[in-house]
Amino acid sequence: MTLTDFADILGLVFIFLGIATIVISAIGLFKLPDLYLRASAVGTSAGLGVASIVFGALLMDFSGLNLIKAIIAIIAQLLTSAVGSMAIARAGYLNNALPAAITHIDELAMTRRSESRS
Amino acid sequence: MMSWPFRIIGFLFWYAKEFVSANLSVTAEVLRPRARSKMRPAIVAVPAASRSDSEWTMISSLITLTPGTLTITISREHGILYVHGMFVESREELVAEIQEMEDRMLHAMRRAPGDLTRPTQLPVVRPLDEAGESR
Repeated sequence: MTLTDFADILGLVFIFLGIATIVISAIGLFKLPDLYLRASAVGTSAGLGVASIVFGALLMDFSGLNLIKAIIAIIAQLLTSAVGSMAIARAGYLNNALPAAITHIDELAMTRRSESRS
Repeated sequence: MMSWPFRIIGFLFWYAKEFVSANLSVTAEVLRPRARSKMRPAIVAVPAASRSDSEWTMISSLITLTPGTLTITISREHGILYVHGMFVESREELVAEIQEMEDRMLHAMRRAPGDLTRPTQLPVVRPLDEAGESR
């Protein structure tokens, strides 16, 4: 088995790991009870899932230029997914999307607007 | 004490390890049957030592990027990060976890660690609409 074959197989493994992560986080979207937990679950697919697929594709078609592209793609993806999750969570909280009942501490509740105003 | 560029690399490796293990625990939680769920969500006010814009941006992004923890908002005037955690047994546990990450991040980002003091008392806050603000 040559080195390229090995890299191809490893690349496929990473791509399938990424796909599995995304599928599991999609299950999480249905299973978890509130907006904030769902946003956390989507974080796994947006972070590790996409990064692993990009890394797998890089292994299957490796070159110096592709390496730079992959690094930029992963960093940009991680940054935007983090900022997006925070924006969604904050918007949800400001619009009275209540955390699920199992949330046992809520220290942000003090800043919550009254229901009548919403 | 390691020199500055090595501290950055050390922090990246530490963060990568935390990132993978957090991913695994959230994935395991989704796959676990509901009856055996270990989920203990909480929203906790974490006192923070960040000062500059870039430090606040970095720490809140890093927290959100780790699955299972999510920055909902920050209060720069009070020096507080409001963090939603998925597996929080007690308030102190999440605070210690976030502050460890922040300590390591600040050691990597600053050439000299400098001022790492955190506010010790939680601020007294009131709903925004009492002041007639609209945000």
